Amino acid sequence: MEWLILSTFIPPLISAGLITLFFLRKPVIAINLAIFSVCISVATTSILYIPLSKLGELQISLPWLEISGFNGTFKFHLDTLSMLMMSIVSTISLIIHVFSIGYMRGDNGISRYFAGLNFFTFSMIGLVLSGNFITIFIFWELVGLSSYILIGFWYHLPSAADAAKKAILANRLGDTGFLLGILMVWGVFGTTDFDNIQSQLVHPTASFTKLGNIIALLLFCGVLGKSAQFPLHVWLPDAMEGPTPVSALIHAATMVAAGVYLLCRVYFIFAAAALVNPLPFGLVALDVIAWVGAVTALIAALIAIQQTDIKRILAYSTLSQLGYMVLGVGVSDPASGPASSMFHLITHAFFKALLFLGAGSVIISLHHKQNILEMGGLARKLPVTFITFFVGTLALCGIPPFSGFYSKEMIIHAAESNKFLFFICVIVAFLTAFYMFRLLLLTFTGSFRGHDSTKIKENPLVITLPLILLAVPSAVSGLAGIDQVLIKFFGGTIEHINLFEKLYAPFKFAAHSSWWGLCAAVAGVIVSSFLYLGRSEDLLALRLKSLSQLLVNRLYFDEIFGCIIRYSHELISRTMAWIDHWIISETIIGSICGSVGILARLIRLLQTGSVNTYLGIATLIILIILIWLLPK
Amino acid sequence: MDNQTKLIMIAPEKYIIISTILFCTGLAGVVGRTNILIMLMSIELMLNAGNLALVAFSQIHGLDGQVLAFFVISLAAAEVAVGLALVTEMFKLKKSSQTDDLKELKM
Amino acid sequence: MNITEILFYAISAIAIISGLLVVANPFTRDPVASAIALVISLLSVAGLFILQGAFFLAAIQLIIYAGAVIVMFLFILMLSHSSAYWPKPRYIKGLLTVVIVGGLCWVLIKRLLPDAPLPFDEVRLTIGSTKAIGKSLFTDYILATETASVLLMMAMVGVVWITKRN
Repeated sequence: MEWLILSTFIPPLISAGLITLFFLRKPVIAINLAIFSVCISVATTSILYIPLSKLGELQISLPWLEISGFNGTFKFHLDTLSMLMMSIVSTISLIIHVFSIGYMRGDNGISRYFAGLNFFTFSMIGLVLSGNFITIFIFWELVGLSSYILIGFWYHLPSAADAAKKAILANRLGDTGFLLGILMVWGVFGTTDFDNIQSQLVHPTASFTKLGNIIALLLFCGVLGKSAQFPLHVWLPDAMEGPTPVSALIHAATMVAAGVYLLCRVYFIFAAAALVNPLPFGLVALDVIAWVGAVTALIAALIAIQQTDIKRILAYSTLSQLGYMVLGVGVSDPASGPASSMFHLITHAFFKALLFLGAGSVIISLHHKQNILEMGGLARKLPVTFITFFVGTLALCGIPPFSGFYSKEMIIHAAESNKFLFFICVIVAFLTAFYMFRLLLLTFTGSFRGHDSTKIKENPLVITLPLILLAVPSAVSGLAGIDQVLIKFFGGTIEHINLFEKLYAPFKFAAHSSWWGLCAAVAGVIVSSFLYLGRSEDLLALRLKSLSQLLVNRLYFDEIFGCIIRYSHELISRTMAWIDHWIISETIIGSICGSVGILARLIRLLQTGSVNTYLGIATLIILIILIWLLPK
Repeated sequence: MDNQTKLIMIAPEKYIIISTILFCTGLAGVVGRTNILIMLMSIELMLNAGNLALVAFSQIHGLDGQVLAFFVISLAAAEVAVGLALVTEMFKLKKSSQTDDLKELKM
Repeated sequence: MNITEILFYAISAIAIISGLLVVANPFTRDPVASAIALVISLLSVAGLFILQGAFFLAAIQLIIYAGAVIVMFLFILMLSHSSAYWPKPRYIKGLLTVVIVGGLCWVLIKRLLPDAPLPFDEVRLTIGSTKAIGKSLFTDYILATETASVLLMMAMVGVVWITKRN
């Protein structure tokens, strides 16, 4: 039965390999093969529900490397958490594969694209199923590689190539910390296996007491890179250079969620670290995580309110929601685990993929134009797109009964313990509603501000069916009881309530946070409507000129990074040049040369050519030997 | 039986001291003078000093020292002959008896 | 103070002074003067040989060394007496020679001479007479004798060959 686990992610790998080797010029075969392999993944995932519900968890280990002290195995572990995640990844991947048929029609590299999408599916499912740190790190890097391949898909565009490079670099920076954390884990626990570590943490050792928070922070570094938290968030908006389905799959629904998934997977480390020696200022790793998430959410939301590219707004929205999820992990109670973050991750995957695919649909209709200031009034022309987009927007803003409300409310409720964090959550909820409705209104209402409005029509079914398919879970997944499953997985207690009661359960059990969240969202909608409904220009940009410029230029983060790198690099190279010139060349080599020269000149004095001199020297040496060596 | 002559002997250390002084003088001559003939004469002086030392030691150990001194003298004679032949050649070439003029090996 | 000692000191003084005159003559740089001084030195050393009882060796020294070798030197000197004018000797060089010689001697004697006096017979009965040395040469050291004669022949041949005119 365990080999079925392997067949969830190996078929996409095989298919990616076959496409790359044989079918790069036969797009029809490539597309069919790709979709077929993802269908196998989805089917296997569904089949695995049955043994999972019976056994509780399934594992498969593939031994790899056994050096003394280091036991590296590929371990794949299927339990409730990974099953949930795997279902989402495989179904969204399948939906996006179908969408891509329509989106990438006519592109020359379409086979390569589908190979890349398959490879990504393989890596992501492998990551989700990983049972130890070694496996998860390998698949972590593979996911990063797939991201590079797909962001830089149109490699002849320099902006795309640069964006791919930036993504890999930011990821690599995070992965350095991650790898250090893994090494420390191995040093402290002697193993990298998740189950093993979890059982060891029941009685933490002395070394863990000293190093626990440092290990937790280093592991969080990996999340910084992969889930684009501050300060490594700069790669995600640039990653929008890739095709829109790629943005939907990788940079909205799944890959960037891998960081949050990691936090939830090894949450026991963070929970145990909260009980041992804290870092300076009395912080534990979970506090740092919460604040980093909060800062990311706030900054991203602020930048989003003045962006004009439809995909950029959604990218910053993703950043903001990722910040929410990380914040949720940071403030979660060890007793009930980060169920709120996982719940938000799942609902976010659905509605963000929906929003991105909707944006893709709009982009195709307008023949690859992306500036929302040149759109408008598309609601009549693209009705299906508009309705699904509207559903997604409501879900994102957290309006009940759509799914986003329930997941966001769980996080805000968890953040009640810290007044500042609660305040930031509420403000971000307001801003989220504000910019999403700004996007919606400027794109779909009013009159068309672009050039040619006659050719715009709704896209074919291959594009709109995925939108509809994603709109359904965006609407209802909040009520499906996922949060109950998650709380039970992380060890909390649940109450059994029926479907109708679930609708208003937040208002009953967590009234404070849910009312604040709802009011903030509604306020955002109202303000946004006031400013943007039916208008054709951005009033905010006109009124707050310099502040708006600051936000449009993304708070100058890229420029700051560029300056830092350039100046530190220059400082280092100048210092090295100075050392090379003055110390190595002049001093060391110069002294060697000079002393050799002096020595040579001294020895040359012996070459007088005079017989007497030679005789004298010979005599001297013989006398010295005579006098020294002969005994008395 | 030989004529047994009685001789009063001086301690051999004194002869050694004289030998050393003569040797060092000869050494100074070889290294210090540039006239090739004087250098050869100084070498003879050194050989002479060596002979004196040998005979001084033969006081202690028997006639072997004197036999060796005999051979040294004969060798010195042969060596002087060859050396003076070479000096003659040098005169033919350089028309001078100074070793300062033998500078072909200087770079 | 017996006659042997007086003779010893006198003859060694002459030997040393004439040895110094060979090397560093304060009056002239003429090599002929050095040759004459060498003769005197060799004669003195022959005298020292006689004092030690090495009669045969003293005679050999006189005949071969002072007789043949020096004469050869004088021959070549006369043949190559290139200039009648010799420059004035440099006194500092002579002084330096004496100093260096003295120092060297002192070092060597201190280092090489043993502390305990060497054993010797106060009154010597066996002497280096011609008979004794001749017997030793032709019985114990016959090989060396024959080799020395070959060597002398080689020296002759060598000299003739070196100075041959083509």
